[in-house]
Amino acid sequence: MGLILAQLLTGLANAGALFMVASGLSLIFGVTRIVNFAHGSFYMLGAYVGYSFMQVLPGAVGFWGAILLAGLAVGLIGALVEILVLRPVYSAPELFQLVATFGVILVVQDLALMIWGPTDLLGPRAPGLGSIVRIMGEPVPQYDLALIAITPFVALGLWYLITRTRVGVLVRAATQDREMVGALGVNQRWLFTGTFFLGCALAGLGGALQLPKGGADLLMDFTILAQVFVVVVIGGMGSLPGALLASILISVLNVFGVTFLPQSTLVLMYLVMVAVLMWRPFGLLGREEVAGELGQVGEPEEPIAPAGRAVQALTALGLAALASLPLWGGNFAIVLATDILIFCLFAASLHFLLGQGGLVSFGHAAFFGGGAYVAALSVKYADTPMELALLLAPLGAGIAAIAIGYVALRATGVYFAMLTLAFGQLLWSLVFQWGEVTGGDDGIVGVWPASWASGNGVFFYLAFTFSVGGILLLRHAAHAPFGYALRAARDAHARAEATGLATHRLQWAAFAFAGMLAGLAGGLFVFSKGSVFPNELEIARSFDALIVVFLGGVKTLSGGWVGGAVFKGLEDTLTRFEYWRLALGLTIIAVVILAPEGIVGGLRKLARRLGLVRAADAPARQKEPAE
Amino acid sequence: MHRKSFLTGLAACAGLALTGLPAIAQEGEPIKIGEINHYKRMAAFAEPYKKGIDMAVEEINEAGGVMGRPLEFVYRDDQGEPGEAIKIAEELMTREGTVMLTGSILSNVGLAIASLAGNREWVYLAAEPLADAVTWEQGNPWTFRLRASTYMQAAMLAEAAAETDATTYATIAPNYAYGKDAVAAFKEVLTELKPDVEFVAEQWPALFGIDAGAEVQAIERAKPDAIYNVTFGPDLAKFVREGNTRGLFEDREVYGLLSGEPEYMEPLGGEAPEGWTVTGYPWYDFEGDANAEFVTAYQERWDETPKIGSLVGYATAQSIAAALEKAGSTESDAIRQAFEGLEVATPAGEIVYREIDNQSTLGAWVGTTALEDGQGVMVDWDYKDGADYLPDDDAVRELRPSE
Amino acid sequence: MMTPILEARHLSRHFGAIRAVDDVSFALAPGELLAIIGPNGAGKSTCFNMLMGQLRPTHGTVHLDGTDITHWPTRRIWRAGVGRTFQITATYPSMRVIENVQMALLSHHGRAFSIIPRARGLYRDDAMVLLETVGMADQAGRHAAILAYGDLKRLELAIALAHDPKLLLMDEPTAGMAPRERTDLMRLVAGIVRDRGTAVLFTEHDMDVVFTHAHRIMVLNRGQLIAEGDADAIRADPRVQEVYLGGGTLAL
Repeated sequence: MGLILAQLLTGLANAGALFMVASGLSLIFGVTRIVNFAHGSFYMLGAYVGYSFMQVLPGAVGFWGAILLAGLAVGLIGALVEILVLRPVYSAPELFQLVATFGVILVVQDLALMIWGPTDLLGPRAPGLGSIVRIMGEPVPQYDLALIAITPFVALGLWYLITRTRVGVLVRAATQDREMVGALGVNQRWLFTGTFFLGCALAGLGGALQLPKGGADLLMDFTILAQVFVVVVIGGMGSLPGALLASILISVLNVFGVTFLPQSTLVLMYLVMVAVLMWRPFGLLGREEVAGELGQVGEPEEPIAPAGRAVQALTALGLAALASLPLWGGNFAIVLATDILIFCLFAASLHFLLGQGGLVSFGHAAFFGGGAYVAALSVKYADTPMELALLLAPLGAGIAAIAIGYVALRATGVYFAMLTLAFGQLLWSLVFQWGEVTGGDDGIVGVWPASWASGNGVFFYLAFTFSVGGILLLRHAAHAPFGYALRAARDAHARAEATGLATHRLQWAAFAFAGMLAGLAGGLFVFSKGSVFPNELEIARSFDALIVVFLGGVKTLSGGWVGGAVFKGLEDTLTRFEYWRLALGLTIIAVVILAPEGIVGGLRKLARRLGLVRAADAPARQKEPAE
Repeated sequence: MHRKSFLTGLAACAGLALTGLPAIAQEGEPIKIGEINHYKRMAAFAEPYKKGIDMAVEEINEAGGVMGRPLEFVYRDDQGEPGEAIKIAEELMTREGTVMLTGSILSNVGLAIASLAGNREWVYLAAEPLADAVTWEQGNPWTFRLRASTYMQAAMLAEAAAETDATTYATIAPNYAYGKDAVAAFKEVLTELKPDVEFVAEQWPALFGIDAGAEVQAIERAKPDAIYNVTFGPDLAKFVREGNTRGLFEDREVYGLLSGEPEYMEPLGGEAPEGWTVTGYPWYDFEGDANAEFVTAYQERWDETPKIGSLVGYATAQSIAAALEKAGSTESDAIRQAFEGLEVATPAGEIVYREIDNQSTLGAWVGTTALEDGQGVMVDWDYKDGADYLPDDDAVRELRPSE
Repeated sequence: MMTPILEARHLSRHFGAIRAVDDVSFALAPGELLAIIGPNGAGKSTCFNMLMGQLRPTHGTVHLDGTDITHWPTRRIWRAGVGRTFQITATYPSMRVIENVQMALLSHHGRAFSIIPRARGLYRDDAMVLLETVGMADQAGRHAAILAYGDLKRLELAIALAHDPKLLLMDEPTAGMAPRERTDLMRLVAGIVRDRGTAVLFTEHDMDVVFTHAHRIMVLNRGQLIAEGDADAIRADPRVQEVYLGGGTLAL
């Protein structure tokens, strides 16, 4: 009994910091509809800034003062980021802003390394709260009790702010209906900035408050991010009570998981997330998404058209030049080109899903890595020849996509994205933990191409054929009835259903199709590297593809592979320099601000302005009927 | 914090990256070595390691280089991703003109490079990765390893554990390959030495995602005589703090794999655990031997104290220079043959790269932790030669299926 | 009497305590042009959504040509020969005008999942004919996102006609249009009814349109059917007067 109580208290104490970070993310999403990938970075900054303040401020007053100051400072940094980085891109297609926040992650990582150095910092203990209290004979740290006491105050404070003040009314109104706030004559800009301040301050507070239970290190941004996403999604995006409930649920569950199922540490959280979303697709206390709320905003997409003669000729020329690479390029050029080609296919498959289907997946790496693992496992356990393994990879990934799509497509918009994330993480944690079969973190090595394809040059042609073929197939599918039907389902769901289109099945098919091609890319990847590790299934790999697609331009046909090629090339160049993360992050932010339509969209616009290509009909917003 | 030295180090790195090492009056082109690491993702480990290499290279080149040519390391960041490391390895070996590869701290990256090395027939010295698989299950003729592996270090602690009265053990290890290997090796060796031991709890926190309070409660609930800890980094800091707060370590033997290494001990400051039996690197205690010379030289060169990574980096460059001299050639196969049975005089003593499994016999220091001047240190330590903690040859042969 | 093309029996839809549609029954004969009128919130759109399978009735049934279609999904009802237009036009803004119609034809011919041919060239001529029917042929190549509202309404009609439906459901077909456009569009619809024998059920706010073109009129108020009959009967109905003008005369 005493033990159960003590464990419950541990769980509640952990829930405190988690709730603060999660509520900040939820608040920001609720008001601005931005999925802030950088939220973990603000949490990390909170820990570091809090640590620095604690070094100079003495005593208990200094300790608690440092925590408050850390929250304040991080809130200000957040507001600054909002003003400098996000404001210029609010008119871009929704979810595009997350690319900018991804850039912020990279920048913060390098800045933190520059300022605080590489060594982990151990957080100071809270003055006067360094020991334990015995409750029913079980030791409970005093600081845990302090956290348990503080959390309700923060929650109450938030509740008061949201429900009892004018600011709160506006925030709530914005969460419900953004157009209305604009109509009320409220300065939406400052409302957004204020929300960012508050959300980031909460993340900073969370980071500083956990110092006495751990410290500050450079990996904590990503460590917390996945967990916070899970909490926010389970609670319901935009719901503060939901965030509180989910924080407590996850934390308490974790504590009991540690005791009774110690092996389950990774899988448990994602299993719960999937289960909750299957039961309630909008989270425990989330509200149903208004149809089209997360659809395309900004300028309407232009009608697609098959490439003209000139473009076709240019493409053929480019492909011929690429195909002749082994004749004039060195070995490394071939290896790099193979890498880029494979990544381009992966990116293009996600781009198809996003661009044609309007389905934003946060877990596309499940199929890339999934395909890679299918190939590697079949080689490892059945000595499958490469040719067959390359067939099994897309097949396996396609089957996985059919299964995951079946569940994930029950939800729409951001919840769909979050479900794919949950499944991706679930798959990752399974592969990571099921070491007996998958080799766990040590991966599967020694998966080399068949002898005829073992030369880098031959393998390049193999990758060239499949990648270019796959990308052309995706492009053709966009021009085929299937692509049109997908865009129809995306553009006007009710209209599509009312003209006989099985929208759900179309999207499901697109999900499987994109998954298959990602799996093919994964299969090629294994044989090009000779090994595969769980990294290829990780959330970071999904984000890579997502960033690339947005950078390339969602509302274009070639955004996927162009973004992939540019990103990989840039990465290869920049990682040669000392502070490459800073440089890459700033580059991403610059592209986001300068070309909100992505690289391809931006170039198209530029070409039009220069009169190089003919403009289509001048686009304008669709008018609403005057009732 | 060593802000100043850190910045100087950075400046040095930048200088290196841009210009390469200034060749000191030798004839001929430099011999280049490809060094792939997670300089950003694991900066706290990679930086001392790199400084160790740099220092050794400076010394080697001042003494006339290798085969009369200067030695040069080409450093590249792989972001901690195996796939990137493979790409960089290809570039280093085919475009940069490096003659062999070394690097990586993470075992998975090390295994990926090892696999490539075996396939392409390039020599790879896995200096830091600890995974047993590097030289055993996934071992190949082209991959060599410098550091004492997980198995070896776990065996050293198991030996110490077998000498006590403790019979019930709890283990806590991060839930990934290294953690699992470390627990398996400890259990295997300890059970062999003392068959009546019993493992009453096995805790597997997520790597860098430990829920320390809950873990401590779970271990306490099992009431073990002793605890075997494999957590490290921020996980270790959280575990130690919760454990101290809740009195978990009182009257218990605790064995900590790597816990005595400065990389892990220093961040804990005054809260470093006392009385744990650990493997580590007691640089502060060396007197009058090669170890002490290295420590002094390192502090003079970099104006900071050495970490275990510094020693490993230093010995890496020494090993490579020795292999090249012995080979008398920069051909891959000649270097590979030179590494087999290669003897190198490192600060820690003479080591041998065993012909049977390409594992070096570099050992580790085993001691007890204590607090001195608000800093955790190892006392009553002993250097254990790696050669004594490897399975017998028949067992090793069975562990290397590829041969 | 011949089988009605559409028959609603005791159709009800409750949202909590609110009875959006309450026990509504009616029938529509082939070739009939039937209007549903009523003030805002009378339940017209809810009723429409139930007829087309987009909303499930709480009670009651819907029969199409004598077949119970109450629980059919929208696209099956469409396939059975029912087209519809929406109160707020629903077209595909990312496509050209003609592609909007081609899309409906592709669906009609069961080729939505095909990835073999390019869609551009498929059923172009059929689509042009439909566009001509609604007077949009000259705008076939334009981007649908930039059409004037009246043109969008006509485009939507062309889409709804693509599979030559026997029944057309039109939710406020003339909303948001200029008076001149309204007359044109309704004339067009009346012509379709005449030429093809298509039955049309439509809701409308513009009484001019309703009384000029509808063969028969139903009046909904607070979810209940309160009157039914031809234009004269409706004009004279005191309950209708009550609803619309609080007792005054319905100015026509």
